[in-house]
Amino acid sequence: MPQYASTSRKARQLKNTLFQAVAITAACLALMILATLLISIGARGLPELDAEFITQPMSSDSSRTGIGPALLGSISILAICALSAIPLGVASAILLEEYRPKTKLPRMLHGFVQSNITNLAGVPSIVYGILGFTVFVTMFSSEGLNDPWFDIGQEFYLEYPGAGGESYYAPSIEDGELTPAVVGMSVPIYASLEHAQAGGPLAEVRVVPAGDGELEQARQEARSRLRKVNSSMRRALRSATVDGTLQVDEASAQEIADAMLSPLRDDIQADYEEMKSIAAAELLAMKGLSAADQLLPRRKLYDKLLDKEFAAAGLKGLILEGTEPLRKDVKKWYYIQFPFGKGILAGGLTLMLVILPVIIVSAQESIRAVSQEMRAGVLALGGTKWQAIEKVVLPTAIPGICTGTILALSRAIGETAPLLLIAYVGLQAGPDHLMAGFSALPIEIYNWTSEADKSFRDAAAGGIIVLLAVLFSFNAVAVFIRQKFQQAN
Amino acid sequence: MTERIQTGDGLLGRTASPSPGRSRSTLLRDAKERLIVGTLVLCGVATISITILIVFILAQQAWGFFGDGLLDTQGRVTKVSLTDFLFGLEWNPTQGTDKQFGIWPLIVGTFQVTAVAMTIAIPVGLMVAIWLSEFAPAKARAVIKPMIEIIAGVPTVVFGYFALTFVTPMLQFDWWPSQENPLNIEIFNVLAAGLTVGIMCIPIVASLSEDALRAVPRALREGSYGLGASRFETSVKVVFPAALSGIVAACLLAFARAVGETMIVAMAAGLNPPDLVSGLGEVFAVNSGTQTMTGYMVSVFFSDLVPGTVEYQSVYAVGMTLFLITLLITVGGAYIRRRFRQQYE
Repeated sequence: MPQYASTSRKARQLKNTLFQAVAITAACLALMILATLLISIGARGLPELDAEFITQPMSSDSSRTGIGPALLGSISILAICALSAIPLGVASAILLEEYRPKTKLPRMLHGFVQSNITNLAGVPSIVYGILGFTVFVTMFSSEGLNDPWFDIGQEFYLEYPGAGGESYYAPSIEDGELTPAVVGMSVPIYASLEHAQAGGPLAEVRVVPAGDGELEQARQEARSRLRKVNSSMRRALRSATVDGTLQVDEASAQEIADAMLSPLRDDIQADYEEMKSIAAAELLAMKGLSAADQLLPRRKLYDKLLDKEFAAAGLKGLILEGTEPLRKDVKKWYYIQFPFGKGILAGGLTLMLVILPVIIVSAQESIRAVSQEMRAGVLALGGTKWQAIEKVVLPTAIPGICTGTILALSRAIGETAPLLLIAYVGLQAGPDHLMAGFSALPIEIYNWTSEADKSFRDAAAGGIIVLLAVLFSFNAVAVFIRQKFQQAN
Repeated sequence: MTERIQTGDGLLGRTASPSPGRSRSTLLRDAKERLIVGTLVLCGVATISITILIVFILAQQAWGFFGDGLLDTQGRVTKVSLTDFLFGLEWNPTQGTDKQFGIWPLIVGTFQVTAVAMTIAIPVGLMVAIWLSEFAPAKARAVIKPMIEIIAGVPTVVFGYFALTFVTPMLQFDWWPSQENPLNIEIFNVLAAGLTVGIMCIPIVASLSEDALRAVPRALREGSYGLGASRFETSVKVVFPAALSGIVAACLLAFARAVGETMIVAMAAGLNPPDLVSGLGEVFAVNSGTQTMTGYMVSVFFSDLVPGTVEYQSVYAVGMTLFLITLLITVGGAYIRRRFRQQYE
């Protein structure tokens, strides 16, 4: 019998040790996975990280692409989300915790709302995405997207295309007449939108009669020459792609560069030589790009060349008589339209939907943790209920509320699914008004990862590192507040 | 009563000379109080209307998908009945002329991923929870618990990237010199997506279960030790059953998260829901791709479908289904925690 007991004890001890070993392995496994994740991403993304990557816009060239506008977009929607979710969430938490109704019907409503909020915290975020799209972006209508019912905060200008390819702007009003340019026009004309907004300086521009045949001819010539160049460029690239060689060889690039540049005057010969070398280099850089990707660099090159040709022909600073202006609107930062459309306001409010339940629940927990005696103390001194909340409950609960809120915001900045419908991909500039379209960091990461060209995955890893850095610093602040608060107690 | 108040120095002056300003200040105070409560109620009403609107809008939009017949992208009227949607075994919303809107392939796809995820998350998560709560020294616990909770804070798009660029190549044995891909793993597959969703769910199971385990009173453990039980026996036979309601609730919450997980499956699981018509063989094929409800929604969002077409509106019906499934799980978890909680007072 003692023999049996001792083997049994040994067996039990062994079991105990084994179990503990398995449990420790599980914990280590979880940590190892975290480490693997961080290392595998760090190894790919760290070489990408530099000031250029963080500030540059997205590019179709994976080695030159950046996250600048996406980062600005993420920050803007996070700010809107915080400004809307925090007051709403904390106020709702105070109402739900401190002003519990005592009669039957309101109490049932209170219970219903409470359980509703708790359950909403578990709803997948993509569901909030389609809700945000329906409520904020389109406001239930499918037509309102392109033609808002109501808008405020816009300035209108007339944009006159100049003979030399540049544009001139004249102030206007909404639905103002589109008066064609005439010789001796009296409206102030500015060289850029910024000048027009600031009210000066006026552009040095002259409206010339349309009958000036020489000018018109120079213009036509420059245009047609470049059109030819453009089509031969396209042909060369297309045949290179179809052949499967996927590149433009140096000889044909040079050939095109030669063909496109017929200097008009000797004194700008040097300029043309420079353009020639740029054209050859850019054409070579286009090798292996798909048709859609070729478009952008080719268009840029074309615009640059056209600009040169026009300048050489002496067309700068002229508007041809009878030129029809285009309507141009400039949106102020407070520009508002209904429905909101795909902009940062809609994006921020959608994120608010996602984190509102989380903020309410965590704020409620912190408020509930304040002992009842402290409230009773204020009431006993003749204070009102709000005084008790303002002077005692909130100061005690604020570290908890802060921690919960920061964690909720750190969740919001990493949310991808709810923004899929609202954000754009690859915008070249950050948002500049409340309704401006935006691209967000997680969306850009998703886009780069699903790109067929795998070289974008390094850029995605770089984006992830920035995202995680922001997130971890948020978490660090939350931990810091919690620690400080615990020490104070 | 008055005498007792008058013993306080600060209050003495006020009670001795009740100035006319006092009543005015009380009035002001009341007005301020009313204003504040009014603002609070306004905020509360906003929140309440948001929470109710969410359910209402989703239901209304999903309802619009059925019945009347919306136009599809080619301009044909396509009628989808609720019975077809709820009981149909074929899901073919975008390709060809014969469009089928039976939700089951997507549901099965979702549960393929979720099943793989839970086989990772529940055992590992529970082990971590038991170790943290019953075995770990206080110092180790103070370090390791926050580190595991970091996993919960990592955005899902990062996990999606991890699944596609690390887990899948690992499963394809890319690191093996001969590069044979012995498991025949496709680029998009259930296994990598499921494993990664499981990893994401570990901290949810671990953290919440640990809270439940620690809530079990010390007296129960002392009693068990007193009877000569080992730590293993105490934790598995005494503490674990006592915390079971909390643990089940934690697992259900992780389950709901896995069902609703979007970015990982969108990035790593592919675009083809299992074919249920030709048999159940594809249901268990974890090496090939699948499509979940959330994955379908993402694919529609990233396509160029126009709102108002039947293909696009199907997103609302799928979203409603997803919403109801996760709601059911969450409510079930809350019910289990309330109903079966052991009160030790």
